[in-house]
Amino acid sequence: MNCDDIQPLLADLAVGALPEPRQGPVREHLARCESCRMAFGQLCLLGSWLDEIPPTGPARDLWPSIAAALRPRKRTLGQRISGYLGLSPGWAWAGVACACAVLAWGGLRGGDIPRAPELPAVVVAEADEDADLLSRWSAQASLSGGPVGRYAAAAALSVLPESAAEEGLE
Amino acid sequence: MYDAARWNSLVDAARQGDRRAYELIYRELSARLYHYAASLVGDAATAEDITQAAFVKAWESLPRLRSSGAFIVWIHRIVRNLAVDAGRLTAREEPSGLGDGPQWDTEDPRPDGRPDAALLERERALAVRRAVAALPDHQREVVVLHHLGGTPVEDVAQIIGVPAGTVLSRLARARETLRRRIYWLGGDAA
Repeated sequence: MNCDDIQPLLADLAVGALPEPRQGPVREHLARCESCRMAFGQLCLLGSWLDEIPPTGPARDLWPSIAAALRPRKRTLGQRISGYLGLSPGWAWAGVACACAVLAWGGLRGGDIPRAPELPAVVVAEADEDADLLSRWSAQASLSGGPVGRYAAAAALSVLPESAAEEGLE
Repeated sequence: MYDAARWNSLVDAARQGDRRAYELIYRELSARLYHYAASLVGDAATAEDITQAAFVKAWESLPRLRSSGAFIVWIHRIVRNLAVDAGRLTAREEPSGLGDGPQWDTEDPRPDGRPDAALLERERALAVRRAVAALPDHQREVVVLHHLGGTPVEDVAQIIGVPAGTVLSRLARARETLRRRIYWLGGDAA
């Protein structure tokens, strides 16, 4: 290969664009041709000069204008979860998905979830009687123009000791 | 060029609305983005407008960004699209003029402190900047992104939407053009 063949390839070699198989003949030529070697050196030197030039920023600080134009961001549910957990949004959603999967699996299996212990029969019966008593007091208070609903129940409870004695309870 | 973990945490914080993190991102990237915008549109005022608009637009769209690591390429693409919208990217034939003026002077003298050496270096830097500014658009863009902006070839390819091989080829042609245009390298034009 002569200089005319080599010269167009020098810049490709300098920037790393020349494929490996084509580099051999060019390097062989460079080893024996001072003119091409000088040209190649200049091309490489230009690369380092270009790398040394820092980018030039704007003449004024643009941040105040940019900051004034930024709207507060409404955080999404995922961002709130991730912020609360201190995780990236992807991990937070993965965690939520795992929790849902575990709950769904537990719901389907049912029996594996430990249940609350059964109450003794006496306690259940007393509870039923209390509920019956409260409902009757509630109805009575309603008829007499007194408080109804939750308030009637509270009123019933406030007089429960006397009436309970009449009903044969404690 | 950047600490990836620190950079990703900054972008993540900005994604969640942290303005302080976003300001740090601005401080790190503004010169690169402004320089890129200026190389595309050719005048400082429009480049400032584009840089400003790019940061505001990126803030608005940041929650939809797929990965924090893609931020730099993404915001460069925003700058490029804004330059295209400004109608200046392909219309300009004249050299950008960014090679002129005091903003391009290098202020630091050489470490050895010799005034002639410092002067020589400043002249050289100015000549290189002028030669870069006079490159054809497609060559100037890759030189500014890769050499002056420090952007890897693969990222440059993504920013301008061409294969990495094309970026390398443009860099090579730009290097040839610059060598011919810079007089002390023995080229055929000053």
